[in-house]
Amino acid sequence: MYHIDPGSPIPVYHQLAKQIELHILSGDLGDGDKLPSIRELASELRINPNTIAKTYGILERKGLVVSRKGRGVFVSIRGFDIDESRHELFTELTEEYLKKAGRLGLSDDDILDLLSSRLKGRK
Amino acid sequence: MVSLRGLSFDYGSKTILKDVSLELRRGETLMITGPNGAGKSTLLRLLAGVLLPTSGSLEYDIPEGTDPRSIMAYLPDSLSFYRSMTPEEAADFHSGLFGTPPADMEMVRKAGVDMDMPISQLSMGQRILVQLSIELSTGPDLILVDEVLHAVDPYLRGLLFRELIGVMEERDPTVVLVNLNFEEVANLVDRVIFLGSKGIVIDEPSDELRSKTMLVVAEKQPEGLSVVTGRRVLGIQQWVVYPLHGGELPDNASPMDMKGILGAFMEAEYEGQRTGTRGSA
Repeated sequence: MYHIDPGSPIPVYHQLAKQIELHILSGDLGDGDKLPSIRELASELRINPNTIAKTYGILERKGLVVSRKGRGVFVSIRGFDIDESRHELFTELTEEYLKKAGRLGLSDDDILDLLSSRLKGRK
Repeated sequence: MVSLRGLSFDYGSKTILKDVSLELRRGETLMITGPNGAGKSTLLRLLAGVLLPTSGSLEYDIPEGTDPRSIMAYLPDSLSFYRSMTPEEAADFHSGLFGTPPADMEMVRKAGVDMDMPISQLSMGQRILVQLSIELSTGPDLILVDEVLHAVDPYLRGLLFRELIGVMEERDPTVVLVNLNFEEVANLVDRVIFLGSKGIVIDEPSDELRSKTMLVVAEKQPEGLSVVTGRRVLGIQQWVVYPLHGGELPDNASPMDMKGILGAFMEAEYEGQRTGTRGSA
């Protein structure tokens, strides 16, 4: 369910927070769903428990989850602007895509042509 | 948790460790790695109090009058642990020594260990599992694990890490793992120490180490950068660069995983031994 890229210079807690955020934004994890306990997730992924705690801390500060003492960490997106977050995430993905396209030497026109033909193809 | 100052250890006329200073903080998980013969296990034995340093000092941050051994779990590379007892007898005996409840041995049972068999008759992997279960049951604040996990099959190793992670989550102890299988513990450790033949080569938080080390593809050695090692792979000249300083990013640089990074330092150690110089600039 979660994958840590060992070659990525991005710290593990950020990688993980990003993936959980994606699960929430895509609806795989719904409002009120319980996240695995720190111990469970740490054991499953063989990650330092402190790293998982950090991950959950990031998600909590973002307002995507709440931690209830003694009960665990729950998805909580009431009052959260989910559209804005989706937009942010999509912007990030687009930046990444453009960077890669640039490395392949594609021009802006190449990118636009390809995108519009793919979009037409989907209809 | 433990302060090591100017620690040296001689074995006969041979110097194994020279002037090692380290600060092990509460709650951190360290990996000590490096080539064979650099003194990793010796360092761990000194931490465990099994060996005494030739010079220098070790200080444990524990209440006055506490025996440091009562707060630690130590898994040495040679297992001579309660050989003639069965796992349960050993658990009872050990709990008697430390005045703690006996290990529940759930993991040991799960691993299919014959509980009526003396420990000396168990397989290597099973013995390690029994010893770790018992050692961890005393609620240690300092956990020292030598390079023993290679003798344990992947399934048992999974159980072992589960047990260790459980204790880490519960008690936030200081954990020191001597390890050569970097990938396996890459996300478990938050600090990496590479012990070379001349002492400590790296002592970095894992995230820092990953962000400060890059692989650079270039025909000539990159100027103004500190190179760990250079090599030709499939006809392409590569350089491993460390440490990069604040935001420096050379052309044609790509990040490396822990295995690649530590492999490069290992290479540099052996290169250095061959040419009589240090591999790093």
